[in-house]
Amino acid sequence: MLETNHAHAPSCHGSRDPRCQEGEPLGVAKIIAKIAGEEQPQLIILGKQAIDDDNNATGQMLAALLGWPQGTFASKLDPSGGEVSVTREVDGGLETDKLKLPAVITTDLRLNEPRYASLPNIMKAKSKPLATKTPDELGVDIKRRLETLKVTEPPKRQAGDKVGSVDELVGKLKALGVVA
Amino acid sequence: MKTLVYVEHEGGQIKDATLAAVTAASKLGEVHALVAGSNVGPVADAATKIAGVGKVHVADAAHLDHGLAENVAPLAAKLMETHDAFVAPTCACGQRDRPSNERWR
Repeated sequence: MLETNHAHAPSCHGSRDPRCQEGEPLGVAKIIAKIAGEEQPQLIILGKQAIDDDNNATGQMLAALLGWPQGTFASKLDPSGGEVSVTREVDGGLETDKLKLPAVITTDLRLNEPRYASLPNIMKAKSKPLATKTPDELGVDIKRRLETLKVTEPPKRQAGDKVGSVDELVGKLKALGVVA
Repeated sequence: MKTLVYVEHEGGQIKDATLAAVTAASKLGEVHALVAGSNVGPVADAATKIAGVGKVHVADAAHLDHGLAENVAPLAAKLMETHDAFVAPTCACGQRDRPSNERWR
């Protein structure tokens, strides 16, 4: 499991919290690529996009850095032998790709039901070794390349008017110039 | 600034999101388009007619047919040697090609 500082930040919208200034997709991808080089996994599974910045890029960048095939927005995985079939959610429906392992997968909401950890398992997890390393120790340059200029809330919806009759509605629409 | 726009197309038709991408890219400066796939002649012709597109790069090969990032990204990365920015529509396809571009390494 890779833990980034981002995961601890309550919300990064408009925040100046230093934790929100870290974890740019390219930097995160480089860190995972480095660890993948050391641990040689056959499959790396990531979420499809971070909730805070919606970049939807880390998995793709990771695949390119490693030179591995990528199955993005996966809603179904079917591994067999040295390959994995990935059903992907695309604009017009579903696309199924067959990837040679090792591969990078990013997940869509429909991939599975989240598995809720039971108390005994949480306790067991606590005793698992946690290898904490800094980017410097990994020899990875995570210098930021993006600068957030502005974060704004979407415009508030204006309250509507209630009308008592169809005639009143038509009158109002005419007054607004929506209908002739 | 010279920007490369990835043309999203299906069944010989350019998808509307591509037009928005070209309009956005034209605010950065000169716009070149990339049409990749097999038998994409008609798509390339249509791309030359998009307002704001100065030049169309066409890559016609069977392995580019499904627009897989693994095949398209190296092509785009090569073209990025002579472009300053890459813009792709937010479709299922651009979402996997764009970040796979290799120039940011």
